[in-house]
Amino acid sequence: MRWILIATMGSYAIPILFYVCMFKKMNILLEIIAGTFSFLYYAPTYLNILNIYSLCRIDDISWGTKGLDSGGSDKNKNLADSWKLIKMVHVAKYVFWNIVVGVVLLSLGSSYVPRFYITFAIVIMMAATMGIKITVAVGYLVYYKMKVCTCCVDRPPINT
Amino acid sequence: MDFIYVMLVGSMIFFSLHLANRNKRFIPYIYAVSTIFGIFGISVFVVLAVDVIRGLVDNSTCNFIFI
Repeated sequence: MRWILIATMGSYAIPILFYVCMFKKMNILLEIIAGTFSFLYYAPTYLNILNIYSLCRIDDISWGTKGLDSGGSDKNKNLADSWKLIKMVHVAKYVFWNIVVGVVLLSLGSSYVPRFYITFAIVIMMAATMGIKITVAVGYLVYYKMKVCTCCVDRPPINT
Repeated sequence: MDFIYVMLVGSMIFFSLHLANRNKRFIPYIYAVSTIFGIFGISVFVVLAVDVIRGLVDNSTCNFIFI
C-alpha cells in the first residue's frame, strides 16, 4: 500500500516537476503550491454549489434564449411547464442517487475491510487517470520534438 | 458533521429551487454555505495529508493484498 501511495503522490508531482525542469521556471512550482489552498477552498463551491444551482435553475429562460419567454401564449406556457417538469425530474434523480451513494459508502465504510478496498479502488483510479495524462503528455512532447527536429518549419509557440 | 453537510446540501437545493440569485435571503446564505464548504474542503485535505504521511511512515504490513 505504501508504494501505491508513493505512486499516487508521484503521479501528481512528476508532471509538475517535469514542467518546471523543462521550462526552467521555479515560480510555476511556487504558484502551484500557493494555488493549491485556494483551489481546495473554492473546489466545493465549483463542484457542488454552482452545479446544484445550475441544475435547479435549468428552466430559467430569462437569458440566452432570445424570444422564448416573450409573450404569454399557451405554447410558451406549455414549454415552460415541460422544462419545469424536466428540471424537477433531474433534481429528484440527483438527490436520489446522492442519497444512495452516501448510504452505501457510510454502510460499507463502517468496517475496515470494505473501507480498505473502496480506498484502494479510488487510489487505483486516480493513479490510472494520472498515468493516462502523463502518457498522452509525453507522447505529445515526443511528437512536438520530432516535428520541430524533422521539419524546416518555425518552432511553434508553447503557451506557458 | 455528516448531518450538517446533508442539511447544508438539502437547504441549498431547496433555496436554489425557490429563490433566484438576486434574492436578499439567498445571497448571504450562499456565501455562508460556500465558506463552510471551503473550510470542509481544506479540513478534508489536512486529514488526507495526515493519513498519507501516517501510511508512509507506518511500519505495519498490509494483510489484505500482496503488494
